[in-house]
Amino acid sequence: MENDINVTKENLLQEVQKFRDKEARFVIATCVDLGDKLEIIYHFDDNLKLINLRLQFAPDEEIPSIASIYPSAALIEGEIVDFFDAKIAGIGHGTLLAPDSPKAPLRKKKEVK
Amino acid sequence: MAKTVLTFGPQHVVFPEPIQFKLKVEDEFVVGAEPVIGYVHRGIEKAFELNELKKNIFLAERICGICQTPHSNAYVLGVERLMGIEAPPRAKYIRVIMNEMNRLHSHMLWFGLLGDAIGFESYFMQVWNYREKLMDIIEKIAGNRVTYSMNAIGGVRRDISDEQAKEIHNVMDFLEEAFKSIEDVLKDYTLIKRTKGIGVLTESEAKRDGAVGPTARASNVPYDMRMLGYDAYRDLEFKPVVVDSCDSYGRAVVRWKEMLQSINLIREALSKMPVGDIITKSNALPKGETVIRVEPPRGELFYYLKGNGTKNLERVKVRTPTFANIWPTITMLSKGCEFANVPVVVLSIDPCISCTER
Repeated sequence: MENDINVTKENLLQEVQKFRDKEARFVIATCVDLGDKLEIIYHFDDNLKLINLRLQFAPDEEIPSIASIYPSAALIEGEIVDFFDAKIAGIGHGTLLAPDSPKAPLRKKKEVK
Repeated sequence: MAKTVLTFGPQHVVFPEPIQFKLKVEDEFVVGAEPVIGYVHRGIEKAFELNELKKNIFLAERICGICQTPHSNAYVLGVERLMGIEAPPRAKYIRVIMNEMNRLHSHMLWFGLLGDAIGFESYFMQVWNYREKLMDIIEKIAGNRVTYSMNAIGGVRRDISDEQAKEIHNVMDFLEEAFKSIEDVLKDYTLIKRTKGIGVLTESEAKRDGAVGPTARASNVPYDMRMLGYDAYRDLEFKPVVVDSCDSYGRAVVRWKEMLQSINLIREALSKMPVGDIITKSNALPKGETVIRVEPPRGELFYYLKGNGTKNLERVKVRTPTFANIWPTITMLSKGCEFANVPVVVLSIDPCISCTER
């Protein structure tokens, strides 16, 4: 995709803050299962231009939440935790899925109970 | 003053669908709110991966029962981009006409619900009666009044005949006249008292919280994905409707102006619609990833598609407008909103919960 920027979990918040400072809108975050890694793409709208921050990480690795910068991100981060069993600091399970729902239903190569 | 937590929903007379807000109240005033969603989650993003490309068009339409045509529009635009094809010009105009008729019926539905919420029962029935004229012409074109199934990969499934175009013009003339009664209601003392200065969302809050659609545009934020010029929008006269009152009344005014704007867009699209094919056939399979954003009645709709060169997509992510407008609603409620005004404030964003949870 156009306008992609790769980030690490160390500089994620710093990069997200730059968007907040210029009043760019947080559109949504998309999580994709790459097999051995997960990728979260944070989409921002800056005057109709869509800019994507890409963060790749191991599924058992904890990454920071961007909800301290964009409070509305808490909802989608909760959804990513539910659907992919990603570890996001301060975000728990239960946004969309009930406790007896299948675990991490959007993960590949993982048995869905 | 001690804080009390009151649960609002998931079943409430003002909600056609279930959602819960846990409201922290002090006396009569809300000082904090927390959304509780998940009552109608259907696992649609997973189903997108399991279904074949063409079946997904009908799946996309079933995410939302009101703004189904923008859902299939966004999906087919994404698949077309990944396949490297484009719909013929006539199909692009037909998509715009169907999208705008969809916006018209959705906004009329909302005005009826607003009347119902504030006790204007006869007005509620009157607006929905006008809406029937529109539903009838949609049924004549698409064969169905609710789920149109007009969009196809590479174009549209049905054409609009000259006779149908004349009928659309007649319905637009009728609605333009009928909307004067809606304008009268916007001047009504009770409606103004219940909505003006209620559910305030400032411009900076709208930007910070990611508000979209009429919710953002009533806060002086001109986000409207039609400005991206998808389908035939790039050939039409279009400027987003923006109001700076930042309240529930402003959201009603934006929708009323957008209904008139939709009538003009439909007329213009009908007059400029070229003659020609309505579909581009291709056997290509989608590969790569893309993002498509379109503008349904409630605001920006986001689709992320990832194809792997097979007839199944690797990943589809859908973010609906109400999902984006939940946090702005929390902001509106948490600023000391009177408990009695909570239904009107929540209704002012035109919530659609089933599509939010997918």
